[in-house]
Amino acid sequence: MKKLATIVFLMLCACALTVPALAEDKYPSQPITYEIPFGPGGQSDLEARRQQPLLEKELGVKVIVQYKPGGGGSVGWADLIQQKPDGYFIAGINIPHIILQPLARGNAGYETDQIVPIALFQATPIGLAVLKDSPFKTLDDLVKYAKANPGAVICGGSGTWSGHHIANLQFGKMAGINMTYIPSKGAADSIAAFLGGHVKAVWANSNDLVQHADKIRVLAFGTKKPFVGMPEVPTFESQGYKLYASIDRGAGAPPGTPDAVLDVLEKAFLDIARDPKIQAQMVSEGFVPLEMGRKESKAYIDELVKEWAPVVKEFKK
Amino acid sequence: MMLNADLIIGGFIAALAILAYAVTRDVSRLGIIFVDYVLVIMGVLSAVILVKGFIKPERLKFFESTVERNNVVTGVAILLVYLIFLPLVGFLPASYVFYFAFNTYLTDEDRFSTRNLIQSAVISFLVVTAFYFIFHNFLEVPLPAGRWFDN
Amino acid sequence: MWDPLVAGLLHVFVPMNFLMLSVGVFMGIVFGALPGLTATMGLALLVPFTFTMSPAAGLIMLAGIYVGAMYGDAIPAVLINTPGTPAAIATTFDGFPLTQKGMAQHGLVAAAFASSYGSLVANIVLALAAPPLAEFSLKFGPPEYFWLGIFGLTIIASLSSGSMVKGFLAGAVGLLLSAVGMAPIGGDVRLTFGFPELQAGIGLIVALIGFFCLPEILSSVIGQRRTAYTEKTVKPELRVVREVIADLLKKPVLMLRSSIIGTVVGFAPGAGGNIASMVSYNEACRWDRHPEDYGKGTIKGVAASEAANSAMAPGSLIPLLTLGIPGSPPAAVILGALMLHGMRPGAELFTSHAGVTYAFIMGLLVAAFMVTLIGSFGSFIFARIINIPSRFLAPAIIFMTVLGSYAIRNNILDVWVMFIFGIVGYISSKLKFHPAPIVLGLILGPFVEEGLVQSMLAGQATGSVFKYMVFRPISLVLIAMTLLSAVWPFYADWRVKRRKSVDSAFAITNEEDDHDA
Repeated sequence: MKKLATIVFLMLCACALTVPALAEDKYPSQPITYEIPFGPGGQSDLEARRQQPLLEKELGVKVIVQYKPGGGGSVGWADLIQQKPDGYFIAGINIPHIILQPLARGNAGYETDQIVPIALFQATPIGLAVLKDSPFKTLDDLVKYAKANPGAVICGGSGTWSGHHIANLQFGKMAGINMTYIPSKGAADSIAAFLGGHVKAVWANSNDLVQHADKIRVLAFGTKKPFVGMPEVPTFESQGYKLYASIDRGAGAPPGTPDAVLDVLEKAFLDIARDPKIQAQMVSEGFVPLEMGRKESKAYIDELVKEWAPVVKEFKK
Repeated sequence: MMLNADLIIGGFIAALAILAYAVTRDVSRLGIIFVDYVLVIMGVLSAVILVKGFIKPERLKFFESTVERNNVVTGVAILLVYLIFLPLVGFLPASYVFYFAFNTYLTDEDRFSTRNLIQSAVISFLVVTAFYFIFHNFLEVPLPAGRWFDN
Repeated sequence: MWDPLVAGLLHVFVPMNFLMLSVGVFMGIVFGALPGLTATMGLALLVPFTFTMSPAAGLIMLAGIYVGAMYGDAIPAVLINTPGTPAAIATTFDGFPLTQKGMAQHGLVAAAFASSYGSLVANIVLALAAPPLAEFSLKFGPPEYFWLGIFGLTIIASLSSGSMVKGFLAGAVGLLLSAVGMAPIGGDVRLTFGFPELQAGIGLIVALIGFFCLPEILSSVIGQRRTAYTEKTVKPELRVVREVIADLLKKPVLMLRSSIIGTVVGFAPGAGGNIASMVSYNEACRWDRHPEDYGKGTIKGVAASEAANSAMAPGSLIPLLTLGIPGSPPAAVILGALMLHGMRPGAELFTSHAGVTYAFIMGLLVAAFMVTLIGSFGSFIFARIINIPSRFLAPAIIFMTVLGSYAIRNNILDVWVMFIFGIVGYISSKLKFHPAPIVLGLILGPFVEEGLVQSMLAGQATGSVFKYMVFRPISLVLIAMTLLSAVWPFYADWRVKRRKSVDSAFAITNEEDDHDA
């Protein structure tokens, strides 16, 4: 037994040697973990990969992209708020997800105001589209038909209590119609269902709409000004509906992260967002580049929380 | 120990179904359809098995011998300890100890001889470290860090 | 028509590209083989490396990874009864019994060759008929996915040798487990008992490791103190390689059918290869003259499963390349890689980027051949792994699976899930309650649920749910297959009983004749 004890003691000593080194003073001096709350291959992942080499160059440390999918992002964000606020752990954030999830679910694992936004760098306007051979030539056609046949218009989209779902609810209220919303698990699935004719119309992200532009007709976009990728498509606002819908991507940090650290991160992300090459790439893929810093993003999020809290409450039965 | 397999399976699954039913009563209309159908199937089939358990039960021995039972219980215990300490001390230390303990336990001859213990420790160190390097440094896969050692 | 294909082939053999392909295949095999790591993860980790390369080299490497992983997952399936990825579940059914009989090398070579075969067939289909097939794949709507799921569930009937009631009960438990987490429609959080991490649901891979790997270790290694995984020491020989390949080549029906099943299931978007191998295995068993061979260690079973799951890879790329809709998670990562290199899926891919695209497709083809080579020669090394005494091997396996379970979603809860499922799997097998149907339920649950609820919503909008779900061409075919599949075990039983009674009737008659004479 004494031999056993000696060996175990030696092993524990060996283990102690593997304890990580203490952190140094100037930020950043250690690798930064950039967590994506979705699976690999998705748009959030692609954006992170786009930024990764530039972040590494500007911050001077390695940036490790990690995935923590689940719950439409909620598992990743629940994890984010528990991490140490030392600037070495950040995550991708998505609007409206981080707003709608805590509102719609009893316990999403986090609250919207626990996430500290660093920047928002990409907007994906949401549009309502039909196939090229659809009888609906304009938004009015659709509304007229829907009024005459409540529930008959089957509309697809991605997710429940997501940007698409909320857009459908808000539009239905504004136009006084009832469209049946059939959610798919993700954007790719909803587009597949749409192209296959299983839904008559679809709420989709601008990049998907741009990709399949030749097969579809977009009836409207939820932006303030016409979408640069498809300028001929009218906005909802111009047709009388004050509907603004978009999926925005950015980065966030755990609560309590010091301002000095956040400033460094904000500058890095904004520099990348302002890079003309990056902007051109985004535009060609059908996105709208954003350059919103910490204050702007926080104000934007707070505004949206105010706008959507009553909507969720009203429609949640 | 001779067990009535049918009663155990039927009873356990029926209990599971009841539990699942109880906790899902607050789910929305769309989210509950599938769950309800499945619970009905579970209920009906487990009832069938329970009935069979009373009429024509299938009796079997769970463990062939007490030796087997002790073996399995010890093995599970070692595994349990490993998993509990994993997030506390971190991946590397926990794995070293686990491998060492498990390897030693599985050696039947001269289990606590010096030679065997040293062999266990060395191989444990080599195997665990090798995999650690492959996963952590080469493949850049995230591994649990130790909460007790956080600074 | 052949020009772009030949050009693509030449592209692949450019030294740099060929090197990348080899690296890719090797990495793919590693990722496929380590339980917990998946093809998707491997692709995601290596996509950044492709930034610095030319698009052709990068995509060729990704092709190698995908194809390699589709073979790699068979290695642990055969050796330690643990599918390296969910696609290889059916490979364990006959692969592990082969190892137990000391024929591990047979299993590994069969897996390698069948993987190549399946990959090859699917690639030919991809190269020749991609656009029309992609359009066809779009016709799969909610009702089709529902019936596909139900069809998959009828496989339980044949998997549960013994009590069908127990089998379907296990399947129902699997379906319930698949409901843990977010409801696909309705967004409710179900059955999480207050753990926010469970919003992600029960990870399929960890459940697999728990159900297949741990019980084997608990019962044989720990419980019965078996010193090695195999009864007879494995001594790999070149003769085995020749024999296995020749054997499989003599069974073209088996190989082709499995490959076609894999390709078809592959391009139904989202269905993925997880069920392709099981459907193929089931069909192989159904149409074989000696179905009783299956499950006891025959290379036919391994081949059926592996051909299908490898065919799934090019199959899932069909809707990806033509329409930009990924047919599986690895395809989604490849989509990302294409986008990052500025290549948009669609007609454009085959015209302005034709060079790179065909290089990619040819890369898949060449990788398929490489798998047979690497697999056959690798079998000499891999098969010997199983000779290592369990007291060294088992702790390594456990610690590797713990690692893998954590790595998937960076979630310590997953490791606990694996452990719990391991215990449950152990208890179930002791109670003669096979875990395979539970896994089937877990995999198919989301398809059945999503298909059901989406169909109900759409059906209510168009008048009749029943009419919406049944009166569609593809659905009718699937329903017919489902009914056939559900009834078949009874038919097969009846056939066996009838033959027995006919035989005994003949025996009696003969006896009487003898007496008369």
